[in-house]
Amino acid sequence: MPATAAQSYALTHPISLLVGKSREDFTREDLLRVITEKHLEQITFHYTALDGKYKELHLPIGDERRAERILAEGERVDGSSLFNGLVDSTVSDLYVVPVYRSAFLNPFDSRSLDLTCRFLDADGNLAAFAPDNILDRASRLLTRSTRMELRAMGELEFFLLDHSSSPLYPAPRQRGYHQSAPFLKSGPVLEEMAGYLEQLTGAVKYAHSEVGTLAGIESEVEEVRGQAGEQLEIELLPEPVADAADLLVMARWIIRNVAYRHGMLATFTPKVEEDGAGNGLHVHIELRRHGHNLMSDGRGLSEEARRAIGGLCAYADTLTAFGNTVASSYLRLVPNQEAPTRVFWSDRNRSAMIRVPLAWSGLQHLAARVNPQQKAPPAATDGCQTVELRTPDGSALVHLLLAGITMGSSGGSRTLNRPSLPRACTSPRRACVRLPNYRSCRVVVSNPRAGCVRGATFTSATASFPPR
Amino acid sequence: MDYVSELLDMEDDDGLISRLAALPADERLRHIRRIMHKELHRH
Repeated sequence: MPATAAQSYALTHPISLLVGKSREDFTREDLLRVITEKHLEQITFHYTALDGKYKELHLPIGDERRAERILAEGERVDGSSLFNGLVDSTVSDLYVVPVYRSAFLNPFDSRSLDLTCRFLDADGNLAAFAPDNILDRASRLLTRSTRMELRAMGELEFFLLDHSSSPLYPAPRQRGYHQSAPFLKSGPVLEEMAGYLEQLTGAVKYAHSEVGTLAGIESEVEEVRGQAGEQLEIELLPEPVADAADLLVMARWIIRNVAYRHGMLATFTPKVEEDGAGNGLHVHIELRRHGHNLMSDGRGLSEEARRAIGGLCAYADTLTAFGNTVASSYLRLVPNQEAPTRVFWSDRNRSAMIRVPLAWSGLQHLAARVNPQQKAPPAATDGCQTVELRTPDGSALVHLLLAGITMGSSGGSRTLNRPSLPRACTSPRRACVRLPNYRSCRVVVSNPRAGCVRGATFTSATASFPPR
Repeated sequence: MDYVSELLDMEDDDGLISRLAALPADERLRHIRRIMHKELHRH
C-alpha cells in the first residue's frame, strides 16, 4: 500500500512518499521526478563485490537526458578488479544496472540518489559468477522446484568501540543484554543506525544492546588497542531471500558509516575478546506459499519446516564454510557462550545449530490479557514462525551463505523426490554431532561431490538438483 | 567455490586448537588476540 502524506510516519520511505508508490512499483520516470524535485546532483550506484562489501560509483547528473540514460542503461565497470581471479582481465568489463525498487536518498550525502545494482555480462545476462546473481538463481530454483518462496532475515551483531567512553555508570561485564542508559552509552548511535536503515528499507525489526561489554582491549592492533566497547544488535524483518542479502550488506555499510561519523569503530568480527561474547549473524528463515507462512501447522512445526531443518543439518559443513570464513570464527563456536556447538535443533538449547524461537503459536491479541479495557482485536495477521540458523558470524559471505541456506532448506523437500523425512528432523537431538571444525569445512568445499551448493547452484543451475 | 576454498586455505589454521593448546599461557593469549584482531573488517 503506497504511503500518502496523511498516513506517513517520520521514518516512511521518502521516495515512496514523494511518488505515492510502494518501492516495488518505482519506475525510471518516478526516479527522474525525485531527482528534479529534490534538486539532486548525482546518482550513486552500489553493488556487492567478491569481498562482500558495498561498493559505490558516483555519477554526476547535469541534465535529464544524462540521468535518464544512467537509469536506463547502467554503467560499465572493471569486473577484474571487483572479482579478482574470477573474471578474465582481457574481457573484464561488466555492466552495473540499477534495481529501481532499491532507490534511496543517501543519508550521508543529501545530493545523491542511490541505487543497488546487478551485474550483467557483455550479452546483457545476469553475470553467472556474481554472488548476488548466484543467490537469485538459487531462489528461483527453489520456487520452480517446490512452489515455495524462502524469506530470510539476519541478526547483525557488532561491537561499537569508543576510546572516549565515560567511566560513569559502568555496565556490568558481559551483562549488557537489553541494557538502557546511562549504563548503556551507545544507545543514541544505535538508534541513529536503526533509524536510517528503517527509513531506507522499511525492514528493521528492532535494535538493542547485546551481552558483550569490553573495557581496555589488549591488542597489537592500534585500531582497537585500549578501546572500550558495547555489543549491539540490529535485527531485520523477513524479506525475499534474494533481497535479504543485499539488505545485510547495506546495513553493514550504514552501521560502519554512522560509527565513523561519531569517531567510533563498528566491527562484526566473530570474536574481539578471548573470554567474552562473540558476534554472530544468526539467520532466520521462513518458507511461504501463496503469501502464507508454511512453518507451523497450528500444533507445532509443520512437515515443511522439519524438512527444511533436516536439509540445513545435512549441509552443516557447507553452510559453515560460507558463514564462518576466518579462523576466529571457531573461537566463537565454543561451549558456555550461548554459541552453537552441535548440529541439532532445539526450541530452548542455544548450543544447537538451529533454534526454533517462540512465534505466538495459538495465541492472539496478547495485549488484551494485560489491557482488559481493550475490546477490539487487531487486524488478523499471518503466522510468523521461523527457524534460526545460529552458526554464521560477521565473516560470512552473505550472498553465498543465503544461497547455501536456500539450497539446504530445499534439501529435504518432499516435492524433490524425498518421500521420507531426513533423519535429522525426526527428533531434535537425532543428529547431535559436533559442528565441523575448520578442516572438515575445507574438505567439503574442496570436494565437488560433497558440497550441496556446488552441485546445485554454483555450476550449472540444474545439473545435479536435488543435492546429493 | 574455488574462491571460498582459497579464502579458507589462506587462514592456515590446520590443527589450530591443538597448536594453541601446546603453547604457554601468555603466548597462547597473545596468539589468540592476533587471530581475533587480524582482520576486523572482513566482508
